Amino acid sequence: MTYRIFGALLALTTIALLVACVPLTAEVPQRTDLFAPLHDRQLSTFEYGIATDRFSGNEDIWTETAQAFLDLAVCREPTEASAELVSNPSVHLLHQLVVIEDRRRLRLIEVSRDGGNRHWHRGTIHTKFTSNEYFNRGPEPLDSDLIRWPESTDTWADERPAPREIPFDCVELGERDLAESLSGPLAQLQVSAVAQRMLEEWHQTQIALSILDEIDADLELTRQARAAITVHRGDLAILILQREEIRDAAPDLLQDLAERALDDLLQSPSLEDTRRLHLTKHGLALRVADLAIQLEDSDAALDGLAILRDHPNESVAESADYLHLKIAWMQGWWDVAAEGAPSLLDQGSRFHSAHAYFAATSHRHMGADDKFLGLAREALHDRPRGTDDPFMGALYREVLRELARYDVDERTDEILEELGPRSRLPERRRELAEVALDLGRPEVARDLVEPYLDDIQDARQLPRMQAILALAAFLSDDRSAFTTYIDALSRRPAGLQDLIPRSRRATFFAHQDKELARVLRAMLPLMAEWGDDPPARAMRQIWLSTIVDHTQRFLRWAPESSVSDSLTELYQLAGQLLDDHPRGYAQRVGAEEPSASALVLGTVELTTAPPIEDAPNPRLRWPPLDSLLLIPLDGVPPKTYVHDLGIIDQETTP
Amino acid sequence: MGLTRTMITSLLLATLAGIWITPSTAMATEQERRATVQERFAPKEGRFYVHAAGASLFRNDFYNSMGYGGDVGYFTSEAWGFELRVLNLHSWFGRAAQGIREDHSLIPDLRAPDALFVAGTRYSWGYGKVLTMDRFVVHFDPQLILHGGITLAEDRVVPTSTFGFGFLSHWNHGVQLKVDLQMIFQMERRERGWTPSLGFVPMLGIGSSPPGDAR
Repeated sequence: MTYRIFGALLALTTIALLVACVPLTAEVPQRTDLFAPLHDRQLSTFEYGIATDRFSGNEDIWTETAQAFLDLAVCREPTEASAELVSNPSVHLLHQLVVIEDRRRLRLIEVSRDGGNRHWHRGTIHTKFTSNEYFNRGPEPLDSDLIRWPESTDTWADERPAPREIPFDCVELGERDLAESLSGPLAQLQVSAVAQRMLEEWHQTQIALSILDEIDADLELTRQARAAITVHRGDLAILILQREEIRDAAPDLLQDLAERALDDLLQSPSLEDTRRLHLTKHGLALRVADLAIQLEDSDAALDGLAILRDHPNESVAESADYLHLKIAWMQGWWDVAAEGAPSLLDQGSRFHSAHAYFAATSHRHMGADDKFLGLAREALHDRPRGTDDPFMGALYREVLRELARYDVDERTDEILEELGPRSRLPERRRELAEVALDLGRPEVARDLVEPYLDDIQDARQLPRMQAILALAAFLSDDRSAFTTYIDALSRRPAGLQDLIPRSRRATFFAHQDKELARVLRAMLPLMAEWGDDPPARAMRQIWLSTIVDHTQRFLRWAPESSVSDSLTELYQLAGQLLDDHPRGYAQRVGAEEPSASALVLGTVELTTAPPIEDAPNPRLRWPPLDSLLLIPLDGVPPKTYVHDLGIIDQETTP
Repeated sequence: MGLTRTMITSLLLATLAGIWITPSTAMATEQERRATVQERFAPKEGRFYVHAAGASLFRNDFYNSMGYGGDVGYFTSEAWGFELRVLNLHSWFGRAAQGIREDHSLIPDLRAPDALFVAGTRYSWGYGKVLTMDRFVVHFDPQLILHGGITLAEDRVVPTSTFGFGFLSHWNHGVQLKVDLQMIFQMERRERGWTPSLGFVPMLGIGSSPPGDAR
């Protein structure tokens, strides 16, 4: 009985086990939303999804792409795209954008090390993406009915990977070796680590652009991704251009890179595309303008700067206004410069002086004299013109040159009064008179000085005025007046001669002697310009004789003068030039230092232009693109990812 | 007797072979070391079970016993369960005792066990699985068992307790196969007084627990 029962029990067991045996079937979990956890900042869950794909054999190019995002988040180098991934341009683009972000991060860190800037990630997605706080890195708690098997390399089909904590491992990020992915001329350059990072990033943007060429160009994805990459590449080109080491290492290559970037910036991103990316026209124009300025492409620079002139940030708008004017001025595009500068900048602006000079002179070149004078008067009104402001000084001289073109009338004084403090009006009058002489307008000089000659109380100013009048008389061929003013300059009152010891006379008469010498010295070159026709030669002989007479008389009266030596020399030279020169030979013949007698004939017009190289050269600055990442949405084809391109045009500052 | 020993030996060997022969690297690939998770194949918590069982009782005396019976139990959690066991035992003299009785008409002062009534607890201290033939998986709980009760031996009632290891394996359709390897301790009041005895009770059981949402 017992045996039969045992037998039955064994038979039952055998049958039951045969029927109820459990085959090892793969537990194929449905692929849940692979990228949703990344959007939700659940890094452990995101990693779990990738691992689940791998365990269950569902791995595909999306898994690979997700892994690249994970690598970026945990500061590993994204793995190289597989052949299968590369064969799908849309997905390859997503992967490549991750690679660019990775390279950008390395570059920013390298630059930060170079410059000691701790906030290397400011303005970029890495402020969040490369931080420990942004992601929830801990795993979700396991359900109680789940069995957790210990760590192993085994892969059981009926198991799934366990979620795990994702450590923050970005501390040593910058230590990663430079990738050896560069090829061609870029790889040959011997440059610093920073420059290498830049070039490598450039190389990756090139790859991204080539991927875009494989995608339908009309897709919104293509257009906007191209806009983003192009804009980023423009930023990169500007940075590379600033690296002198790269300039030195490969100037031609660099020029080519930068020109390509500028061409792309000018052609590729339509405003519509950039607007959809939250990149304003200003954000684009800033890049175009700066890159064009560095490449000295004035046309493109002016286009970009013109857009920036209505930038909401006043500082940017002012810089753009000024740069636009300066570039047009330097190119000699007076119409563009004048049109773009109808008014002056605020006096508090650091570009005020230079802007005023460029603006006013542009109008002058355009023949708009009234506009020129109006701007100049506004700029110079009650402004000191010290030597520390070359632009105001140059503008003042331009105004004087303009005033000297016209006869003296009431308006002349009105304008002169507005050009500075009233107390210094005589000085301005004198300066205008000198400019008028320079321009060959002796009557203007005379009319400016003569009416006020008796009012001058300053013993230092009087000789100067007399000298101006003497020169004006010379230029007007008025020997009588000339003699009057030269006599006034060279006079040695008899009473004073007795009062002042001979050894000290030079000091008392220094001012007027100096002016006398200046007048006489100025005459010779001016005479040389008269030409060589008989009337000119005859007139020259008359005036040479006048010079010789006055010089001779002065040297006789005042041999102790501080200008005796130079006047002696002048006397001898003038004498030689006379057809019936009183000296039959040049005293300088046989001198040991013949060059010491050199006397240059002719006039040299001193430029009124300020040192343009000293003009302020503001750099336009802007934050980098926030992000180039296109994070996929689960269940949505890549063509519609465009709204996720995280580019933010932040506040720009010059 | 011989059949029983052969069966037990085979089961033990099969179990050991399953453990040793089917390494968990059967499906290993070049993967990183990583913890994995798995839902329990057959949750036990809150479920009754009923097992039919065949058992033997080996003691250091002159009787051999085989029997059949059943277990009824309930798991209050995945770890803890309680059960009631009833076994009907068929006992006979061993060869040595049979010879003595035939030659000398002497029999020992203990009685042949006829039935076992015990109740106690099962504690699942782990969870395991064995891959066999690269195709089938046997999920099992290694368990510790502690029972107490009585053995009916002819006209005597013998206090009894058992303790030992058990392997409760889970199969499809709620089928459960159980192997218990227990020591048995009894105190029998014989002619010479209360006498302890120690034995070994292997048991094979098959039964079912409602599958519920088991996978």
